[in-house]
Amino acid sequence: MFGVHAWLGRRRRYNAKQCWLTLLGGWVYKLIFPAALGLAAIDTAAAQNAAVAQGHSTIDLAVAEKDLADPRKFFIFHKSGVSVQEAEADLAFCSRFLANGAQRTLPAFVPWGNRPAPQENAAASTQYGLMGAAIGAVIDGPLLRSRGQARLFRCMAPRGYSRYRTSQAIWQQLNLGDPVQSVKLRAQVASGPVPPTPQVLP
Amino acid sequence: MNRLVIMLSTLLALAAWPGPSTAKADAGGDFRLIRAGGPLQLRADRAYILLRIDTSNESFAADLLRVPSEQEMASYSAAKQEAHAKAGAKAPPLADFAFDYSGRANLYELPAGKWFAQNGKTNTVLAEVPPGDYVFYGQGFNGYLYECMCLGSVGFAASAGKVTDIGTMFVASAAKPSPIPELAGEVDLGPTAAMDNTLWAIALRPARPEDNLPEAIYGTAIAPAQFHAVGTFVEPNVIYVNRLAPIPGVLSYRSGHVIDVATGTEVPDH
Repeated sequence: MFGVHAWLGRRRRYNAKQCWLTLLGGWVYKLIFPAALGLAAIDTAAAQNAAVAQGHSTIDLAVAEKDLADPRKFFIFHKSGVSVQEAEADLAFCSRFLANGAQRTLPAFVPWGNRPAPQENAAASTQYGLMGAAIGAVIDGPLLRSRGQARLFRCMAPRGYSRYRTSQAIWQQLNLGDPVQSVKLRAQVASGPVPPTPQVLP
Repeated sequence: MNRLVIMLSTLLALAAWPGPSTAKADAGGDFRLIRAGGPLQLRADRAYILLRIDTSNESFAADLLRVPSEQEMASYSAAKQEAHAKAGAKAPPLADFAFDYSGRANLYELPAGKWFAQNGKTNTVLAEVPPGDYVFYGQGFNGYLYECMCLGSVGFAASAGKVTDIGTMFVASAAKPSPIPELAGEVDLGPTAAMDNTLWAIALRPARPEDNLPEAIYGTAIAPAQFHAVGTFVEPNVIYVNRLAPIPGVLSYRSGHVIDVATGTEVPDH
């Protein structure tokens, strides 16, 4: 937790090259990255709508071994014997824990009984200077994604769901796009046939 | 090679990047950690919470929430609405509006490092707090909330003029096996629990007669906490969400649902 403070603290001045790299990093994050994600989301949403309209997942879950992605992060849930309605309820419930804000600093006030909103996140901050903001901007996307994957796993595993490996492309097809459609689609997968890919253990 | 080292160390540091500082709520005279050495005089209008923290693995903090009064909630809502109105048309809907409240605090940190007494690897922390109902809210470090017990926890009452002993907190990496019996079922979850950040498994062992008590506590009104199960709640401003390990007679889980052992019923979500 202290590493970035100490590291940035020692670098008191930025040279011209560092400043340009910083600005470039910021542009990549703020303009190019969201635009690419936006296009991907449109394609994903269209595919999800088509699959959900069928009433069952039409996504081919077979993946060549060379295309299987990091099993810590890219997996699909499945539970034998669960109905699509139960799976949808479980996924919808666990999705409430995916909202991600900056860590609370204590002491703090928590409106117990109300659902707190996420606080401004790290990437938007310049607390650590230009270099810190650029590094944060570049790394924050994957970091937040892996936190979300771990949160969902922590909520779904006790509900009896197993995990099966998949490719990053199929994971994106299932998890990006419209959140409601994504839950419906993943519920169809979770309640459908056992995926043909290896199970993630543990 | 040097570049690689710098990159890796930066990535590791950023893995726990806390994000921007926010306006802290005001703990004022509400909350005080009592440190070793001083005389212990209990105030009749204050409650005292005693917690032992096992530091064998890590030296973290327990983050406790005081259930706010209706008046506190009303003050918070009014301040939030005012800030939302000031933010203008560009502000998101009120429910999604991120708001730093600088009013009275109700979430306090009991860090292992600010102990009242030490016995081997066990640090005893003693906090002076407002009397009220409390929830074991999460685990933190250095003033930051790291992990919430959003998937199930316990609550207890802290009465005025008394020390409420809430037992011993244990921490271990949720990814690996642990010899701590209270953490059985909450650990050995595999590498998904240790990616860019570590998911910590947390247990609370209720106070036992044989537990060590600091000498300065002798003669004060002290009683073990009477716990009850607390249902799931949402806290987005953390790194991870987790649940408190089951506590015999108090807290258990059935297919992920929080169960109040005393009644055998499912505890509603917040």
